[in-house]
Amino acid sequence: MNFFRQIVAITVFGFSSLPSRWGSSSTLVVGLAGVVSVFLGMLTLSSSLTQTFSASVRPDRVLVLSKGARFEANSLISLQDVAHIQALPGVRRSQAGHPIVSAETLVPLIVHQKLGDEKTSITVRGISPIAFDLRPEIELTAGRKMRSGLKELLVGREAQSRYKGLDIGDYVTIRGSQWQVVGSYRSNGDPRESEVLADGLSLLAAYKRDGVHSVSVQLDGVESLSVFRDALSANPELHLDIVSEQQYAERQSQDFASLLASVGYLAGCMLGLGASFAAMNSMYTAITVRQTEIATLRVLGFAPSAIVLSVLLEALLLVLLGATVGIILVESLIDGQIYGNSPVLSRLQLSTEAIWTALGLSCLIGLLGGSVPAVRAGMIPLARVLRES
Amino acid sequence: MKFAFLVLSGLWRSPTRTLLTFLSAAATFSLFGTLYAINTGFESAIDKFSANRLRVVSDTPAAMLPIAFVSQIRALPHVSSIMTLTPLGCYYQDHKNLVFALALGGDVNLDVLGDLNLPMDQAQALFKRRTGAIVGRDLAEKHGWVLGSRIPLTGFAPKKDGTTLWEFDIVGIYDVPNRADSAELFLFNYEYLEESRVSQHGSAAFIFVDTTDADHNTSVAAAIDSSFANSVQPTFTQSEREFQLEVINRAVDMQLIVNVIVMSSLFTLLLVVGNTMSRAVRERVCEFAVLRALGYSTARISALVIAEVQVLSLSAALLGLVTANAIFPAVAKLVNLVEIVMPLSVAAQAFGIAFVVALLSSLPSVLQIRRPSIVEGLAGR
Repeated sequence: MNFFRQIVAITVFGFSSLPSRWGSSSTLVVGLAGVVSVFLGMLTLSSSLTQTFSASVRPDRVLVLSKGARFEANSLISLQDVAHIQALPGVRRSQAGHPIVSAETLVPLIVHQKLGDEKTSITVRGISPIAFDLRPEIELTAGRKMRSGLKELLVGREAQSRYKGLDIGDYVTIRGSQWQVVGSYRSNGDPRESEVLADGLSLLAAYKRDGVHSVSVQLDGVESLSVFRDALSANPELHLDIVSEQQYAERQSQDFASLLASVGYLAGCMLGLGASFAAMNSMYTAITVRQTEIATLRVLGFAPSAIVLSVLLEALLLVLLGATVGIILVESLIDGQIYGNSPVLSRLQLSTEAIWTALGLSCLIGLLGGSVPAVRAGMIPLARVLRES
Repeated sequence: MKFAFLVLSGLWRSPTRTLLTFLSAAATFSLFGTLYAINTGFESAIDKFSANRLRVVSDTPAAMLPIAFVSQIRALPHVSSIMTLTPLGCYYQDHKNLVFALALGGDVNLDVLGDLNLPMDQAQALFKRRTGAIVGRDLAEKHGWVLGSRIPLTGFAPKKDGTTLWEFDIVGIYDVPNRADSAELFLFNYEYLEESRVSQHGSAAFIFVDTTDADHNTSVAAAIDSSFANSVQPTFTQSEREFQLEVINRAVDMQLIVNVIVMSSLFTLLLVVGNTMSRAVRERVCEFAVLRALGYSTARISALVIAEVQVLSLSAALLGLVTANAIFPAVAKLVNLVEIVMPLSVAAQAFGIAFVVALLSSLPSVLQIRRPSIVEGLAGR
């Protein structure tokens, strides 16, 4: 019998005796399912949140913030500066000749969750009318766009599905006056889907403000960035910073994405170590139960290395079975769910990459836990085992 | 004595199995220790802020509050002290050396900024000198500043004299002991900011209000917001702890995540230990029958098994905690935690859980012991 067939034969034989040692093997499977679901769950959370923030990032658009501000909420740009930015070279113009630049104002809106009535603050973003040219990813899902100069709101679909009082026709109180919801939109699953859009000038008027928080600029092309940047810094009156959309997305997500990934890897490593010991334990039990059988096989002429490999194979198969259970668990429990405390909601999405990483971790656990007992199985003292039984 | 001997020999019966179970339990407990320490760390990061402190900001991001609000708030009942903070963005020598200077005004209460360790005479010196500044040790060391240094910062806001040059004298340097966060604040006099700046006169970014008692927080916050609801700049007031909690939970609910991970890993641990023990008991049917024949009651034998699991579980918890404690400072830095010392309460929780896990996992084994009669057991059936 060739070597490969020996391995298969022993493994099949081993599996047929599985029911007699079901307890210890099922511990291995359940343990692995636990490790993999925790690890995969954390990776999914981390990557989905990052993905949400960078969903609509484009290299030919930039965000302008006031000097030193890290986030839109800390930034303040006067309307005068907005006019300066609109006139800078490198800015794309619409067919009508208007610069494609949106001056945006952020105000908080307190809403109640549909589930559980919990109070949360979401963002109302005042935008320039031309913002719809700037952000073609914003697509109406119902109703119509808001009209300039009117107190009308367009609601992101995630915000609409999660919070009360944001359906078309509903009235929302902002600064003491009534604003009507006239439509809803989607936007590539990016953070804007958790926001509400309003006409920028109407919002500025309602808040009696003379400055906006940020300015989004559509450049002529990726290569126009340097022209735009130079022109902006050439004007000593403008105390402004340019941030690429990619940079800004990373800035928003890095803190908690790295927190989640750290906790995920920490849990993955420690639980993985624990699972390796548990796997080792149950494989030891397996070879103890099967020692007579293994010794007999040896006597029949099966190679010790075939026995070693078949035990290792059994460990790996059990581990992968557990990993599959874990993956199915994560897939059915959290894939497609919406996760997020305010202000950004994120649709969880299991990535193939994360699944491969989790499978890699499982194989490592299988190898760590299976190798020592496998070698031990190959070295069973034949005479003594057979005499004792 | 004999009991202890029997417990140990029971554990020693299969050293490999005991050791592996022990290690796998220890790994679980070290994860538990680390995660719960992280959780507790987040909680205590909030506790360091006084419970009776309110944070008043404008209801629009980045809008300033008129400084005149301070005297109006002071007139409200249950208000004990008020402090204002206003940031001034600057850099030192090079654009890359950003310094976020904070102008302090009102009744200054330095513990607003966390528990800074600052000699009292230095704190008082700040208000005797118009251009005085208090800086964190890390920031000072980074730029080579010492007490008495006169340092020029270039501000993003222009000054009345037409320059953007803000000069400060270092009158105090503070430390942040036992923490992973660095001492990097730059605090200076609001008066200096007010008389030198060109725009936004008479305004502050934050007003911190201390109430006489935390019980009055809600009523004072509501009173503040309603007095300014129809003013030039409506306010949004919440307690400082509430605000900090929101910052921590901004995107992820760490507490929930930690609990889910811990629950699922403990469940697995329960299975692992339970399984090992029931296998061990099954192998020892004969031994137990001998003990029973010698007059040991089943209750006594059950106690023996439970004690074995307890020894295993509690010692694994100990090893796990020692490991967790060793790696915690590194983990704390990784997750940006302020506290780097593992809290004692976590150890107490871990041992409590180890005890419960041991009890629950020995349950099936204990039930097994009662089943065979002495004769059956001795016959090895």
